[in-house]
Amino acid sequence: MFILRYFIKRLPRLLVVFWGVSVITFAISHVIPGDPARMLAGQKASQETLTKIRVELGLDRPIYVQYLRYAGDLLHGDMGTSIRTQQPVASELKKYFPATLELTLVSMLLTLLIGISLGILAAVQRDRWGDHVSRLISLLGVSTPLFWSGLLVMIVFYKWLQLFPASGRLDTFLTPPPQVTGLYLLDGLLAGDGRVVVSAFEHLVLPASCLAYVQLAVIARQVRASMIQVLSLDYIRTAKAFGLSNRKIICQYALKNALLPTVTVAGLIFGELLGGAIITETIFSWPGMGKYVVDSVAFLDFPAIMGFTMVVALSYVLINLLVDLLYRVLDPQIREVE
Amino acid sequence: MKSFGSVYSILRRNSLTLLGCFIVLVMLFIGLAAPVLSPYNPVAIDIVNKLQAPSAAHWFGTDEIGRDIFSRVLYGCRISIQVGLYIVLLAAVVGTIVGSISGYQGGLLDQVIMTITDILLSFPSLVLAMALAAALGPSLYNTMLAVAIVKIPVYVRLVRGQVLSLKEQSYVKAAQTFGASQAWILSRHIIPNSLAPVLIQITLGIGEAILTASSLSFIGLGAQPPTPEWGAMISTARIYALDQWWYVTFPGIAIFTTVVGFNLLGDGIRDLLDPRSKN
Amino acid sequence: MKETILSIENLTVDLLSGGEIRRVLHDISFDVFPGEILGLVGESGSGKSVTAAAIMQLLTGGNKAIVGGKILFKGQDLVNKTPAQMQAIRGKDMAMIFQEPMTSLNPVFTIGTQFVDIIRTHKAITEKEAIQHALNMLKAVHIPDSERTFQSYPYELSGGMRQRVMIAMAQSCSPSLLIADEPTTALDVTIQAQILRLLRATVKNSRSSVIFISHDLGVISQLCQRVAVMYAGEIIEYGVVETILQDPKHPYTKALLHSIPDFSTKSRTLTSIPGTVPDVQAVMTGCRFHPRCAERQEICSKQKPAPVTLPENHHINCWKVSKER
Repeated sequence: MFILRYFIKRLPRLLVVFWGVSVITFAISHVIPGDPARMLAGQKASQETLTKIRVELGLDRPIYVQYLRYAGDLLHGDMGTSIRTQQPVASELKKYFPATLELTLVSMLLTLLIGISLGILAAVQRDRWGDHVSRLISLLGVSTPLFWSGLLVMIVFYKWLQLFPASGRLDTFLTPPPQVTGLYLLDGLLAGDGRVVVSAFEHLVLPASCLAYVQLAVIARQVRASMIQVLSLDYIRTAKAFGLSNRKIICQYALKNALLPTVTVAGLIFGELLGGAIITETIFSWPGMGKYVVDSVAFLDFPAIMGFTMVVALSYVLINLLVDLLYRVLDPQIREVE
Repeated sequence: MKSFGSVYSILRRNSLTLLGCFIVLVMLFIGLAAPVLSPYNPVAIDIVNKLQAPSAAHWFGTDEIGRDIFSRVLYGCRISIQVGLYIVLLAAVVGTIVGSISGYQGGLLDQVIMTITDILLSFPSLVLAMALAAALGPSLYNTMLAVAIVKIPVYVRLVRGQVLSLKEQSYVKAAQTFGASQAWILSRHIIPNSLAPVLIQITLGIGEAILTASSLSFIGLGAQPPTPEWGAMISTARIYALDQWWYVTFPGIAIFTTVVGFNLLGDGIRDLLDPRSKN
Repeated sequence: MKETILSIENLTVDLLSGGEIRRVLHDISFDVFPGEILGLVGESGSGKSVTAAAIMQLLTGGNKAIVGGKILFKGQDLVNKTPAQMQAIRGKDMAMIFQEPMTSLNPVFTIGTQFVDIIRTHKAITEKEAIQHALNMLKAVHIPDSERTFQSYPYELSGGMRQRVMIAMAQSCSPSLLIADEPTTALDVTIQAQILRLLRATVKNSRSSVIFISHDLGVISQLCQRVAVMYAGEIIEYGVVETILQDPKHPYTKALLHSIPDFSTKSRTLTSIPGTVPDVQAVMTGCRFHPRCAERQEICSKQKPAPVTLPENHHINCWKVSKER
């Protein structure tokens, strides 16, 4: 099955990228800072702690030895210990990962649904009101600082209109459902706990909308451009000449072609959502990796910061791999070319 | 390059671009004239008048230690625009040089540079910028550097693509037969002809750069207090957001307006220089 | 007067192009009778494809582009039809095939999917029945492995095969009128011959009428019974193919025929028609061909020639011919 062949072909490059990511994170935490020992032990560490750390972590050894040690630890799943909480970074990230995943997935869904619809509207209504509205929304979306829109949304929808909650994942008096995926929406559904599902949903609305708003603007622009281009092509003329309905032409014949470049953009969008989660989780007190890393930044807790960075980078690479695969599934011609 | 007359007529036809241009000019003016325009000293503390709502005396209200928010926003304009320009220009210059060498030389050097670029691009930009800024140390200068480094790969790829196609042009081959050095060919033929997409990318990138830099300030890595940087201001304003809406709102409007202005201008310049993008 | 399948009466079309309105069709009229193949010939820019698009109501700008005249299809004026009504007609009573088989089919769907979509748009039958019908149509156009083609993507087929598929699709709902817009121009000469043979056979079997558009007089002479010669948005000569080709009356037709290189004449120089096709917007008084006409007279630049009808429904717009009668 060609999916397997695809992964095998991609494996070498993937490994190189993974290795590269580890080198970069190593460089950032061990090479750039003036005193890596201080970085890893904390700003307030005493001289003795620093010396101890230096020996313990082999910071007095040559760089490549340090790197080998670092890489070795990584392969064992050891990302060091958080200065702030004194817990292993890896287990903390694991704890907070599902919350970020849920937020990002829901945001992605919103981004795609609204973004693609807006893009189609703009293309079909080209130069008329639908197009202008859509382009306005796009412009506003890419120009709005995420931390600002989050706070504004909180003020309007939480404080003034009292429509949605603005912190946490669930109402405080509810217990989280038994963990299957870590996504409260899913786990709540699986456990049949309606109140949890509703509460989880309510808590997702504001943060996911904020995150999605910026990115749906990007998707809308992309889809608009693609659709306009596709709609001018010969095979669309053929479809019209054979009397196919407008809806079929736009939503199937044109869209499937127009979405191909959009698929590639979707991967990039996911990366932006992961980055944006840092901000959004902080503002909405969402207990995910993003909030964790911002708290860590305040302490200059390097192991935590670098652990986060590495996890996000690896997730991003995997997502782009999947996106690339999806592209090949959708476009029969590319498969042949390869 | 188009003549000024046609530039003017296109700008006129596209009123949104004009609006963007206007906004940018206003912001530049404010940035330059902030000391003159501010009614108060942006760091003057006045605890008695803390957290006042907008009034005639304080158009944007006051913050938690009584500083006039309006004055701080005006000074913040200076900072943000400088930050945006610095980031983008640094990234563009370094990226162009690296990209053109990589594209022109080809071979192993190109492979290596491309692999490094790909690896850098494997990190979402905010995340990498954050890690770099943290490693370099929290300061506005380090944040600018961090964001610039993160943006370099974009320019490297862009320019490399241009160079690869330009390299095959006959006038380049002709120059090679005359024994021109690589540096000469690059600087005289290739780079000038690659400039248009770079220019487009620069204008589109300033807004992004301002957003990224202020986001980093928001999480504590960029401007340090008492610097009146917009992102940092909103960060302090956060705890007061629900009760003192003005503290959060006005600096945000400032960022938003500035970025909208640069984006509109950038779109207009792109339409001007890249006819292919005209839809 | 025989019953016509299609009757174009005084059709005038203006198109918006580059921000300006240009008249691309000037008052054209012609008929298509049941069971016949009518050729529409002319150089690029003469308005042939616009005529086809107008008949199908597929002009950019829609109905607004048609500023005058009637398009009577089986007695009904298509100009007055709503988009929904036209959608029902297109692909069913009237079908069209295009010049570029390489780009005329949707690359991300299989032939089968596209074919079944077309059939089921116009016929209320089940998917299984539609698939069977599609396979039958593919066999009818002599496609060797119809099942395999059905499951293929367009890029897997050659240009000739794709054109066969298009013909199969066009004929699938038994239209009364088929418009073929230069269907063989983009194909190799050998494939061209096959496709022409196929067209001729298909038409004979189904008794539909065809408007065959081409710039190639040779092909027209092989395939069509009657022909309309277009120049600069007008029909300048129109009648039975043999008559027009053996004894052309209009100076343009004469010049066109004369400019075809012919091995038997052994002339050394290739003749061409001096001058160029007039700019579409150019407002001209008199006959649109007169600046390039070898036989022009003074009146030609002043007044538009009145239509002249010679025996056997041979219509001509030319002062010289008028005067000779």
